[in-house]
Amino acid sequence: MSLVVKRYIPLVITFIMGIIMVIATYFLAPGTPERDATTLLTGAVDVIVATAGVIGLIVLLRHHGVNISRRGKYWKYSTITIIGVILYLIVGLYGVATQGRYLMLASEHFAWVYNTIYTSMDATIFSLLAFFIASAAYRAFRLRSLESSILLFVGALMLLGRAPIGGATWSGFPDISTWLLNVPNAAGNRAITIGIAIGAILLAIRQLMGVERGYLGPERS
Amino acid sequence: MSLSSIAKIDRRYLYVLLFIFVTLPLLYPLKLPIPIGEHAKRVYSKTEDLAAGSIVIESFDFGPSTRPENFPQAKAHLFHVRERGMKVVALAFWPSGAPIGEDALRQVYGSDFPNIPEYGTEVVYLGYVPGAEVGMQTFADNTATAKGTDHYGTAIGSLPLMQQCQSAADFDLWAEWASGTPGEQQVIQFVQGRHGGPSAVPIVVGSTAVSVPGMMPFYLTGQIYGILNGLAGAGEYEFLLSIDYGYTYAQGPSLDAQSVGHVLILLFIIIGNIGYLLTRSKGGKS
Amino acid sequence: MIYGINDGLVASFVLLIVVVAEGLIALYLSRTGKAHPKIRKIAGLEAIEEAIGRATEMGRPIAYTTGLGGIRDQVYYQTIAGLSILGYTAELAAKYNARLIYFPYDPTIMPMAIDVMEQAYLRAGKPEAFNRDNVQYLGGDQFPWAFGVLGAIYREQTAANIHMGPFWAESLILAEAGFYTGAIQIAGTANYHQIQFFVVAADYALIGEELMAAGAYLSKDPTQIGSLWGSDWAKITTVALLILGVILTAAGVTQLLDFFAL
Repeated sequence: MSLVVKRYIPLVITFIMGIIMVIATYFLAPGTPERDATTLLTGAVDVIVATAGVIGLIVLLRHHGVNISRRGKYWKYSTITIIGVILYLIVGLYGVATQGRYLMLASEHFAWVYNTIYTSMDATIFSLLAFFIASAAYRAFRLRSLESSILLFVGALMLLGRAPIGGATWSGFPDISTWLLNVPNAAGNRAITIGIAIGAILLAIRQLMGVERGYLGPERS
Repeated sequence: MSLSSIAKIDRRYLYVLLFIFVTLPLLYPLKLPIPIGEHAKRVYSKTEDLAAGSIVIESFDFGPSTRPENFPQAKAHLFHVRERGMKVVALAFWPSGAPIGEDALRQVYGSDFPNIPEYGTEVVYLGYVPGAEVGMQTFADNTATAKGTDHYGTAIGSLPLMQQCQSAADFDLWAEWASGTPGEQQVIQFVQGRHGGPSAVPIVVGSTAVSVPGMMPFYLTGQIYGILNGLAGAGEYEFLLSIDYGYTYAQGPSLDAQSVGHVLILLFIIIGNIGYLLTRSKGGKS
Repeated sequence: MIYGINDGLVASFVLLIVVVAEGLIALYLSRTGKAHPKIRKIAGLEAIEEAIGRATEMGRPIAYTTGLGGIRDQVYYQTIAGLSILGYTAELAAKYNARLIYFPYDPTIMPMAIDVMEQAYLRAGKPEAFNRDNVQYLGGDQFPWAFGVLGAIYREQTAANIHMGPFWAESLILAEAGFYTGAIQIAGTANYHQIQFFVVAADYALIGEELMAAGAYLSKDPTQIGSLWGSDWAKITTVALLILGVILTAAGVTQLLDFFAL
């Protein structure tokens, strides 16, 4: 593929689309045909990105399929993965076919698998965070320096202030934690948010101008 | 085993202790009193101040992983708005939020939902609205453009409530139940910011506790009117509802477990530091 | 509408113009050699080479992730920054003959990542060393992806874990569990609610904007460094506006406040 097609045309498209979106956001009133047209454009992006689901499926099947065919490491787990994907796909497609219309959870069976298996596993994995937080806090909150001591002290105040036991012990803990949230935390978060926003704007400008193009691939065709 | 070795306890012991001590209050609740914070009070007062017939958007933007924190918040608020006689347009900008939203509506409006008399006039469920931030923007500009049918396939145009709720100009309150992106910041950016600001589209938020610190700048400027802070926020709201509306305050055991967990983590930190200081005083490495 | 600009967006537009103008002026000055701005050392980025060297000595691979972002979500800029750092890391890995495994979350990132890595191996003079099997797609959902990465880290016994991009709840899972494999961990995110977990659990953390400065920092390209310099100007402007606003509001002059309400 020539450099013009692989590199320069995407850069031109990026620039034009960026300018269109800025104009649409700031100058086109909601409800006007022009604004609706740009909404259609972003909707088109959604359609393109939706194909990512199909790409993802193909890549996943290819990766695990190759592992099974080569009897690679843990190929039995790859088999379980592929069986799971295909079975759930069949259940979903069957649901869509028999229901006659698209639903979020295509059928009772699809919903059962989602609610019973996926939801439970998702919640279980998320709950592991509690244990990881405990070991991270035990390991990291040490009186090594002034900054880590402040971190430790404030962390302790927040732990006590944010749970009922703090208020039951002393009525000041919830008030202190609320003050910590409203004042020093808000100040710090404002600074971080503003810095990130400025950084994001300038990164976008670099992309629109074609300066930031590491994601486009090789310089040479 | 020396005293300074408590600086290097195997983390599996910590996990076992945490598991045991967090489980016990769930079985034997401590019934700790719950202090009501200003953030939850503001959500409550804002909802109380709205007139009957106000249109409230309930947005379920979270997944199963944060259900223990977000679902009690959302359900309690849904109950509150129903008791106050407000009209509800419920939706989700997360695919995983759609079944959860339906579950909340069933628990508040009855297991027959949507086959209830008030469906279409007092409450509508749009389900998953695709497009994330763009979907939010489109919904705020023109609700019918964002989603042509409700979650059950009924055309938006045939629902009387949706005739009254055509754009952000018709929203009296946006209740955002979020644990990520798109979430409250995107509602501020794409809905409130483009349709008249906080006075035109007030927002109340229920979020996971980890996200709340980042929302404080928006809370202090009034862009977010009130926040339910994680599980504790859900408990505070339920408690307020239990006093005024007889709602069941169900988060007590969970909050007791949370309290015990916090105290235990604090103890781990203290023990770790004692070991660290002892090691350092002996001139060793921790 | 005010001056043709949609309601509620006037102040936003003016600030956008100011920020962009400052960025472009600084970029121009740096690019034409009229100014030579310097970037302070970012420990996390300096540590990447150390991490790869360690992996080479131990004969163990490096795991690299760019978090949960895609290319069309609100945090795409973090993913782009993560891909820039991936290019740098891949070039070093090629030079040192270390195996780099990348775990994309979004399938749309995969072709971009493969191109970035191929380019990096080419720059290092070892195009034949690039193996597409080292780009492992594990699924497009948060926790299945995170646990897939974790499983791979444990099985492969990685010597270094590099996480650069938008992360959510899985950040602590990856960082904390990765710590116990004995790997050196370098992480960076601009998601304010996860920064603290990386600071606590990783060996080196890039906080917020440091992640987005990475492209400029690693390439040493005057154009990108100039843009970074421009962001500093924008921050100074913001602080000046804040101070001015406080003084004026305290003095009862509300025009500036009213402007920001537009």
